[in-house]
Amino acid sequence: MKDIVKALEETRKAVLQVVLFNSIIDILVMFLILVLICILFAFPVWWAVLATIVYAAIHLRGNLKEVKFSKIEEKTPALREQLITVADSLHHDNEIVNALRDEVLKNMKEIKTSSFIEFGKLTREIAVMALVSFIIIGAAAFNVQFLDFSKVVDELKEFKGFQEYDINEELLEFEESQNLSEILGDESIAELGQQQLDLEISRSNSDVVIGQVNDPRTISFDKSVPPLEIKASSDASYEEDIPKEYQKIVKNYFREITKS
Amino acid sequence: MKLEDIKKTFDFLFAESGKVIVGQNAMMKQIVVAMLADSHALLEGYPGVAKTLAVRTMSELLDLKFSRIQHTPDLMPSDITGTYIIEETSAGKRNFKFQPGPIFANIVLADEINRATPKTQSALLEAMQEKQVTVGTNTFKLDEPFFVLATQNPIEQEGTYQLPEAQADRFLLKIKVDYPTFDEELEIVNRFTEAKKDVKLKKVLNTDALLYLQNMTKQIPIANDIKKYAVEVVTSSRKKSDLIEYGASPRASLGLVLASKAKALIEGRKYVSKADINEMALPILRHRIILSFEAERQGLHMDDVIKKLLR
Repeated sequence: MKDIVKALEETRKAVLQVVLFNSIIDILVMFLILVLICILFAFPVWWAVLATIVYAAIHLRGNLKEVKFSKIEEKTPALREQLITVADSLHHDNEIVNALRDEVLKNMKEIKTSSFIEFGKLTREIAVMALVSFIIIGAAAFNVQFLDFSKVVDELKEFKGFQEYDINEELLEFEESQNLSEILGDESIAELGQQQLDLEISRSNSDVVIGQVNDPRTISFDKSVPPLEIKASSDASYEEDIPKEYQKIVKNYFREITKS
Repeated sequence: MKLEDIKKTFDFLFAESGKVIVGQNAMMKQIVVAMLADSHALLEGYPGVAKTLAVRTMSELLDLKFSRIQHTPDLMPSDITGTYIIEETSAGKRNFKFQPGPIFANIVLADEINRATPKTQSALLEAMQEKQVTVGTNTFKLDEPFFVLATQNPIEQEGTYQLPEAQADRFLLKIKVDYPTFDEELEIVNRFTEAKKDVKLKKVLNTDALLYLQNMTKQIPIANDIKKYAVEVVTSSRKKSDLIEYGASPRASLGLVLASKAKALIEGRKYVSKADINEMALPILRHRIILSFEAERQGLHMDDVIKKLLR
């Protein structure tokens, strides 16, 4: 019985590998098409990745359901209804079941992995992948774009109808009709530019004597005598009389400073 | 008996029966199916289509004890089961001794079962179910194997007692026996109107071989999908309320799977196929379903309705 169990497992594994291979090719084709769309319409590329992941999940789920012995039997007429019978009777042990298992084991060499690969479809998909890849390279190189999606979004945002701040005309009219003098103050003050404003500076109330305002006079400074306002002092670190044990440290310090 | 020899054995059996019965291959096959399933069959057909002859021939080929019970309205249950009689010994003492009835055989042909009263029918049916007979306070076991092959005539309605559906359910198959084809009828005329030739039939199987084959039948594996399909066919008969008044019982599901296994064995296959289920569904369900008025209004026959349940 171990032989048949092993044979069934191997068969299932082989078919699973073929189904996964077919699915991967389908997913790759879908990914390339989505990337091309993203490039042509200036969508973010991660959208293509996300959509591919969703497509891969749905596609794989559907394809993995096809990995059943009944589907294998459809491709191998010699095993019709026998493979599923043997698979469902593994826990039985009698003369007839054993004889059926031997027969199925013999006929299992009729199962051809190539019968699960649709060569026509595979060829078409590879051709599409090659073509789409070239288009992607060309579109990226020549910066081809049908539509800039981000610009469209920005224009839509600026469109008055979609603006975030939407003035409610009716509410504004109502508020303006109310007496808002407590908040805004006297309404008469709010009017500007209606009358000519005459300003007059009262001389007695000002510290500035206009007549005495002149340009600053030029003074030449005596270099030997520094102005009293200016003082200079030097740090002890700048003196040459640095103790010997600190000289090296000081030297390194200034060297490092200049480096930075 | 080797597996490879089983198909040859059955082919030989049908070839031998062909020496006596012309045509009616489907009927002979279904009788063998019922026997392999260790159950009983109801044969329905017009008079003169070799129902009785077929059963008698089968008993000869299988070397089984055969008895025939002609049902009439005055048939009593004790006429079937047997009764106690007073027997006088040589010493002058009188004892009650049980005299077994015709039911104590391997193959019992219950001819025109629908002519007997319900009380008499129930005596037979009890034996079919329990494979034993109770007379008074004593119970007598029937020999193994035990088959009842009942016949009924579809055209005789007067003076008949229709077998209740609950009782008909005990028969595994309801075998429809049709008229032979033109060529077959010509062959029958040629064979039986000329000088009588003694046809000697070879015994193909015996009791032990038949019991062995019954055991082999149960060993035939069936895939889960096909098993589910069989149950689906039976359960759908309960859901199709527009054409079917009453659907088949779970006994039909058991019978369908068992009959399909028997058919697979006869054909030399070691597995049950969907085609087996489709073919056996007709004799299995014919007597277990009651059609609604809508089906009768549409002029649908039982087989037409059953075919609607199949995929």
